[in-house]
Amino acid sequence: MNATGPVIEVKGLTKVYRTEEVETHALTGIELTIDPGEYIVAMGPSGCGKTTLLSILGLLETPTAGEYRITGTPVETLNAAERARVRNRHIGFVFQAFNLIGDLTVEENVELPLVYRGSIPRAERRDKVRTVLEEVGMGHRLRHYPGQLSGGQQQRVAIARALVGEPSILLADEPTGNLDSKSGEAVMELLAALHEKGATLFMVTHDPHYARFARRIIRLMDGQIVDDAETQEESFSSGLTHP
Amino acid sequence: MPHSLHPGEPSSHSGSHIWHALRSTSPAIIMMLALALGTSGAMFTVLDGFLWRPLPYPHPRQLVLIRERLPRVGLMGHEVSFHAYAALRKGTPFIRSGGTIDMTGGPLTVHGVRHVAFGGFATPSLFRTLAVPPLLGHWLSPASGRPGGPEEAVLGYGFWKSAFAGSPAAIGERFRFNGKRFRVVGVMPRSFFTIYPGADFWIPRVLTPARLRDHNINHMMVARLSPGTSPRELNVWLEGYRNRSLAAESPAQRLRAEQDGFTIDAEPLHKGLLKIFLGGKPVLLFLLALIGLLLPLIAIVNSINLTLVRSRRRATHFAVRRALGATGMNLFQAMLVESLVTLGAVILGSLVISDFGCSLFRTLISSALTGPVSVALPFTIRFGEFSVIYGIGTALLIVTTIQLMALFFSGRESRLGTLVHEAGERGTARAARFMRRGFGAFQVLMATVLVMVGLVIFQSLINILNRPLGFDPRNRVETMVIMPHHISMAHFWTEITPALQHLPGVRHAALGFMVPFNNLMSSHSTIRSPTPPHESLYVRAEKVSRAYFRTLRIPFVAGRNFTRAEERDRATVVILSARLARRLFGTVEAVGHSFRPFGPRSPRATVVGVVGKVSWRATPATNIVGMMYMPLTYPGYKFVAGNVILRLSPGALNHLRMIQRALEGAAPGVAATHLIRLETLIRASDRLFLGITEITSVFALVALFLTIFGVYALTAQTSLNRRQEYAIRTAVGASPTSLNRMAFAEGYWMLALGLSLGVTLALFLTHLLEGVLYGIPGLDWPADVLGILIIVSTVLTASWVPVRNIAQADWSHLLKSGAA
Repeated sequence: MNATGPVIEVKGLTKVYRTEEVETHALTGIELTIDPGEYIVAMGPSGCGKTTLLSILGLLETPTAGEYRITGTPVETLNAAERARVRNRHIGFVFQAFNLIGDLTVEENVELPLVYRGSIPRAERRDKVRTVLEEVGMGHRLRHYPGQLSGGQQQRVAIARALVGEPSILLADEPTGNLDSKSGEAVMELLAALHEKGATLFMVTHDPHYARFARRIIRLMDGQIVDDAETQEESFSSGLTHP
Repeated sequence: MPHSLHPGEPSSHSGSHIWHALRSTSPAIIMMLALALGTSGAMFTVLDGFLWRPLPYPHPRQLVLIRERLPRVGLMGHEVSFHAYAALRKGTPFIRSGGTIDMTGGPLTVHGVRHVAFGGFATPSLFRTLAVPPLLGHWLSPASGRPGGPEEAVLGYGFWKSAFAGSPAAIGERFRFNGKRFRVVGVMPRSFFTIYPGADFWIPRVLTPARLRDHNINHMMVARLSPGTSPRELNVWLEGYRNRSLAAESPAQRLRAEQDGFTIDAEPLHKGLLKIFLGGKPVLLFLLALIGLLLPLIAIVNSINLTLVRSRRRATHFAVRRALGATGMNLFQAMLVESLVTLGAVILGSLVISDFGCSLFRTLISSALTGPVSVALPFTIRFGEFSVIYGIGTALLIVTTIQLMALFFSGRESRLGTLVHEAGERGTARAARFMRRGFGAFQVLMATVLVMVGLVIFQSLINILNRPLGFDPRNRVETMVIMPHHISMAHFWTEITPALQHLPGVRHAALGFMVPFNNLMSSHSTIRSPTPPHESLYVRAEKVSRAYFRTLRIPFVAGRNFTRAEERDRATVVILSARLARRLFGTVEAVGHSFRPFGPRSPRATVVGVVGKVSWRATPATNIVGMMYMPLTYPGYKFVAGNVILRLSPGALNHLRMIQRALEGAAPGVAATHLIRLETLIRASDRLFLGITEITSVFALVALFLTIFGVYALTAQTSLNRRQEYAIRTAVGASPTSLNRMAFAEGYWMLALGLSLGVTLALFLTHLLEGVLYGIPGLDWPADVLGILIIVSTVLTASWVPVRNIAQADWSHLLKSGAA
C-alpha cells in the first residue's frame, strides 16, 4: 500500500439499500479524500448517511457503486476475508456504544486486533497492549471487566483497542454519544491529543460542540456531501460552545 | 365492549385468552413435551403391565414357582419333578397349598361336535392355590386327583362360550377327550390364567404312586405361601430339604447331584412369569425403562433451553405491560392462563399419543411374545388409569416447573435470571455459557446412547435375519398333531405314511416331536458324557422319522440316516449334531461310538450319523450343548404330540386347509392343528427381535429429532446472543472463517462432552444387552462408528444453519446499537 499518498480516496461512492418494495439511496456520488494526519468530522442530521459512510470506509459494508482506495489500494472488490485483513491492519474503530466484549478483560479486549493479526507473539502483544492502555490512562485496569468500568473508562479502553494495531485511520462513530459531558470532553481531548501525535481521524457526530476539535468538517444531507470545509485554527483553542 | 389483546387482563374473552396463550407459548415446547410424554407414557404403561400391575390372583405376592435346577448342566427352568411336588405339598410349614400343571390338548367331542382344544392337566389343588373363584360351578374336586376318582373338567371362559354357547347348563354336561368322558364341574372367568398357555379346559392330574416317584423335572408347580411367610424363609427351608433328600439318595446319585449343582428353590410367581415370557431376558424391560426415561429428559432439557431463550423477550414484554399499567396480578393471570393452556395442550397431546402407543406396543408385544401360537398373557397392557395418571402427573410437574422457571427468569429483579442473561456485564457470562453448553451436551449424550444402542440392536437383527438356519424352510409346512394317549408316534406314523404319499403336492413328509422355531413344543434332556467324569449335558433330544433330515434338508456331516430296520426294530441308535459329537467324543467323526445317554442303567446307544448345526430359535440358547435325534421307536420316550413336516411343491402351499383335512381324515382321533409354513414360523420367532428393533429405532429417531431441534435452538440462541460480540470482532479484523469457527465451537463443545459420555454409556448398555443381542461382539465397530458419525453430522448440521446466518448479519446496525 502507498504510505505517502492519501489514506483514503473515495470517488463516486454510492450506496443503495433495496428491499422488495423500496429502494433507498443512502449515499450518492460521494467524493472524499483523507490525507495522513487529518482530523475530519462528518456532520449532518439523522438519516443523512453519516454512519453508512463510516461503515463503508471501515469496510463493514460494501458500496453499490464507486471507487474506494485505502492507502492507494482499491478495496471495493475485496472479498470478506481480504476486507477483514485490511480492516485489521489499517482501520481502528471507536463506537458510541463502546462495544467492548463483556466477558473479556480490559487487556483481552485491547489485545483482540493483535490476536487477529496472527503473527505477533503473545508477549509482544501484551507489551503493546500495556503501552497503549498507559497512553489512554487505563494502565491500572488491565484485569477489570468492562462492566466494572465507567462509561468514560470504557470508551478509553475502546480507543486503546482502536489504536493498538497502529491503524492508518481511526473511525469514530459518535464516540461521546453515551457519555456525560465531562467524560465526553475528556474523550475528545484524548482523540485530539492522538491527532496531535499524528493520528488520522474520521469522526461522525451530530454535535457541533465536539466538531470544534476537528480541522475539517464535511456536512452530509440526503446522502450527499453538501459542504467540505477547513475549520479555523482559533476555533480549536477558543472553545466554541454549542449555540 | 373493549377487547383486550392480552391474556389475563380483565376484559379479555376466554377464546382470546386461549389463542394468545397458545401463541405466547412456543408450539415447539408443546409438541416436544406431548411427543416425549406420550411415547414414554406408552412405554411406562407397558412396564406397568409387566412389572407393577399385580397378577390377576388374590394375594398374588403369596404365589411362588418352585423350581429344581441343575445350573452346571444348563437346566435352569421353572419346573419340578412329581417326586419333589409330593414331598413339598405336605412337608413344609411355609407352603399353604401347591399344585402342578402340564399342557395337554387334542380333539374332544362336545354334543357330537369335534373341537381341537388346548388345556392342562392340573392337580385339583392348583385351583385352591391360585384361589380365583369360578364363574360357574366349582373347581376340580380333591377326589378327582386320586386314582379312580371322578373324571371332572373345568372349562375356560372362551371355550365355554364357543363350545357350550356360554350356557350355564354346561355344568354337568360331559365331553369326550382321549377316550374318557369328563363331566364339566366349573367354568373359570375370562381373566383366569394358569401359567401354561392352554386355557380351554382343565382336567385332573391323577397322581398315582408310580407318578409320585417320578424324578423327571418337567412339571410347573405353583405354591401359595402360608400367611406371614416370605419366599426367603421358604428358600431356607428348601435348602434344608434339598440336603435331606440328597442324604437319602445313594452316594453315586448324591455325587451326581452335587456335580450338576442341583438346587431347589422358590421364585415369586410374577418374577418367574416375566422370565418365562421374556425368554429369560428381563433386561429388555430395563431397555424399555431407559428409553421411557431418556425421551422426556431430552424434551425437558429442550423446553428449558427454549424457555431461557424466550425469557429475555418475555421480560421486555412484562416491562412494557408494567409501563402501560398492568398490575402484578394481571401479569400473574396472564402467566396462569398460559400455563393452563400449555398444560392442557400437553396433556391432551400426550394422552392421544400414549393411547396410540399403547395399542401399538400391545400388538407388537403380544405377537412378539406369543409367537405363532395364540396364548394368553398374564400381563395386562392397556391404556388406562396408569397411563392417564402418568400423562397428567408428568405434564403437570414438567409444565409447572418450566412455567415457574419462565416466570422466575423473566423477573427483572430475579437474581438467577440476571445471572444467566445479564451476566456478561458482570463478568460471569462464562458461567451462563457453561450452563447452556451443559444442557446441549446432555442432549447429545442421550441421543448418542439411543442412536448407538439402536444401531447395535439393528445390527443384531440383521445378524438374526442372516443367521445360517442349517435347514431349508422353503416350501415346507408343519402341523402339530396330537394323538390319543393310546397311540404311539411310531404307530401313528406307520398308519399315516401311505395317506401322506397321496396328498396333492406333497413331495416329502416327516414326523418329529420338535420343529425348529416352534416354541410351543420342546424336549430337553440331560445326558451323560461317555468319558470320565461323565458330566451331565443339557441337550435337545427328540424322536424323528427317517425322512426328517431329507424333508428339512439337514445335511449329514458324517455317517448316515436311520435305516428302515432300525426304525422298525426299536434300535438304540442316535444321530448327533456336530457340536454334541465334538463335546461327547472330541470329534465329529463319531460314527460307531456308543454310550449310555440316560445313565448307566439306560440302553447303550450307537451313533450312526452326525448332522450339521440347526438353528432352533431366533437366538441360540447358551445352556444347550447340542441335539440328539432318536428313531420314533427308541425305547423310553413317549410323546403324545408331534409335528408333521411336509415338503410341498410350490403350488400346494395354496391348499393348506385341504392338506390339513386330509391329514386328520387319514388318522381318525388325531388332531392336526397350527398348520403353518416354516418361513412364517421363523418370521414369527424373529418378531420379538424385530419388535425390539422397531421400538428402539422409533425412539432413537424421535431422540435424534429432538436433539437436532435442541442443538439448533441452542446454537441459534447462542449465535443470537453473541451477534454483538461477533460484530465487534468483525470490526477489529476477525475474518468470517474465524467467526464461524467460534460459533461452531459451541457445537464442538457440546459434541465432545456429550459424545464422549454418551459413547461410554452406550457401550456399557450394549454390554448389559449382550444377552439379547445376536452375533454382536463386545464392541461392534461398524455400528458404533456409524452411530458416532450420525450424531456428529447431526450436531454439526444443526449448528451450521445458525452459524451460516451470522454472515448475513447487519454489522453496522449491531455496532451502533449497543454493547456485547
